[in-house]
Amino acid sequence: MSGNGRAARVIEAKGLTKVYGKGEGRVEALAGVSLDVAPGEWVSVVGPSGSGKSTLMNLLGLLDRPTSGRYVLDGREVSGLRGGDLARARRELIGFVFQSYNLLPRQSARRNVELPLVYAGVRGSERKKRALEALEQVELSDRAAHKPPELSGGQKQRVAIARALVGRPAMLLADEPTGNLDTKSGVGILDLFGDLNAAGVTLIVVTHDPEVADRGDRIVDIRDGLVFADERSGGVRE
Amino acid sequence: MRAFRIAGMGLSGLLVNWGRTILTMLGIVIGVAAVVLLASLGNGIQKSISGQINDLGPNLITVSPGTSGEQDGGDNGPFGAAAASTLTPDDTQLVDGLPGVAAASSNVSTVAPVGQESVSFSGVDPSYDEIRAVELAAGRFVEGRGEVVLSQADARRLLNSGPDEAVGETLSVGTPPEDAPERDPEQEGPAQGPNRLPERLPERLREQIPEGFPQDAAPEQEPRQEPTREPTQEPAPEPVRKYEVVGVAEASDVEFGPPIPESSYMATGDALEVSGVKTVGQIVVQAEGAGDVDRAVDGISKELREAHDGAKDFSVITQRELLSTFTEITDQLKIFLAGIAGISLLVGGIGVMNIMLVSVAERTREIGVRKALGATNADVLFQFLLEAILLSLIGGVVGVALGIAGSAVLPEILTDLPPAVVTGNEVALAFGVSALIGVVFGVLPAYRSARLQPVEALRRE
Repeated sequence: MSGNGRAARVIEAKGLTKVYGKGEGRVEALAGVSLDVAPGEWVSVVGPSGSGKSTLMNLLGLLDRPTSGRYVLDGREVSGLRGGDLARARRELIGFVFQSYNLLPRQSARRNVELPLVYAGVRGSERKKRALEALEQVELSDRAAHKPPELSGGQKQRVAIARALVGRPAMLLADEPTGNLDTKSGVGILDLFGDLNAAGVTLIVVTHDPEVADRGDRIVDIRDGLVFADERSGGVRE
Repeated sequence: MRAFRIAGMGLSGLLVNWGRTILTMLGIVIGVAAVVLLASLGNGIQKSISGQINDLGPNLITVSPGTSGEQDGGDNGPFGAAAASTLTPDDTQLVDGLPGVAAASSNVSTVAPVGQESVSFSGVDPSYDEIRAVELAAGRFVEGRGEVVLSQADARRLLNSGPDEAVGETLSVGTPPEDAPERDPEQEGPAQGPNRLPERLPERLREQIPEGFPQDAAPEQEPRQEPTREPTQEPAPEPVRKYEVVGVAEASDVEFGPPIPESSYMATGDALEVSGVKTVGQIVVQAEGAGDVDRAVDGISKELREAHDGAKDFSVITQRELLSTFTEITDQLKIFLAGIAGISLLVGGIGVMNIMLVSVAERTREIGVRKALGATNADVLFQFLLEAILLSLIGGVVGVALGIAGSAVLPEILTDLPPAVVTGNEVALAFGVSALIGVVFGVLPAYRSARLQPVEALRRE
């Protein structure tokens, strides 16, 4: 289960803060969040709107920079990274799954999955091979040539998950992955997450849906920019 | 290698999104084609108008004997020119080589008997055809001795034939020996009247020459005395010679400028021989361009005066009024055309700018996705720059091709339009400006989007 050759902690965050604006309009979205995540863990991040959970996700996903605090991702200090180094860390360490999929609509599923590998500089034939492997992982091999508009919501999200997996990141970061899906498709995605997690993939899932949160090993509840609760979900399940 | 992969991806993206690609390119195509087409049509109109004005002869310079500064070429032209003849074929040669001069021709007027008829001939050099734009109804212009071009009236009178039948006929010019005494006074009349004048005029001129000036040493003065001696030296000055009719001249329809008298033409040398004089009545000169007239006039005045030992015994006449009208019209035309080209360039440029801005703006989210997946700002910019360059280049080439095709086809359809003239400058300008605008406005918004945090870019719809 533990990450093969990975660091002992996938995420080591200490006192992360994020402040937007200045003076009167100053908003403290995160007031100091510390979080450790071990390899192979499935962590659900929950909290009401405005709690700061989206901000936390952006910081953890290296989509935004913390105002202060220290962030070590897969053993690498990433809180001070900028520009090109940040982009590189993103493509090497993180796989994103968005609520609205964010696939390029005119490219085939396979080409969408290949995209992170293009930026990693992987050559064409190798890209194709790995993209097809990733699509197989999400059970979508037969849809490799289809374009997103020809796929159902659940299938689109599977393509997005394949795209997140293809770079073999340290963790998958999902933001409301079932938010746009009907219950059945949503359960399908969560089952897929379960399979991936069982295979050793570290998962961070940001959600406001208790049922989605309960599928994780651990629930981190964010309120007013702070960790309000951080507990095992085992007892709560069923 | 990584750059190649990103480039390849960008290019395949252009193909996959062919609808957007074509629409974007269309903006550039239309912009470039419009500028090329309008500029070429404008050039054609300018050339046509310039040509029509040129036909009126604004570049024409006339060198006449005598000191009169008046513009009296019309009266003095064919007949009176011989009056104060101080000009020789050598002078014509001299003038022909001067800077700003495109061509020069002598013009000797003479009247010669042809059979029972008396015919006025202008003895001219082959270049006269171009200088005065002689229209030919048939055949070609005089290119050497032994050839004549008849006016239509003379062709009818002498050969009783139309222009086409006259070409190739042979004329006997000169007085047959038995007719000589009868014919002599008749046709010597007009030629000799003026010939008396030089006797008086050179005397008047000689008085102006400073004393001690070696008059006899000047070879140019000889011709002035020639005419007076000729009749006595040559009792039968006009032996019969055979001439071939090589062409028939159209009646002149010049509306402005010195009129071209309805005339028949022969070579200068033949006319001098027939008339028995050694001076020419006039030298007609064509300046290289309307702007070269002043330079040419200065050169002619200076050089001829030197050749004539300082004597200003000739006048140089230009079509001054016509010239100023000409430059006024062409200047206005130039401003008008520059305005049209400028406006079409502006409109084309704004079109290109617009479509580029829209196309990139709707891709902000795509930029966010790419960045989330690990693209650096440089990667994103590189891709958009490549796309913009490619779109601009292909669009520009297609636009130039369409513009050139349009300028070839349009005057065929709208027959009132003169043929368009495509020039490299305008094509390069249209292509360059559109490509530059395409690249700048393809990359600038991409640069702005690339600098956004990925979260923000993702938030945009």
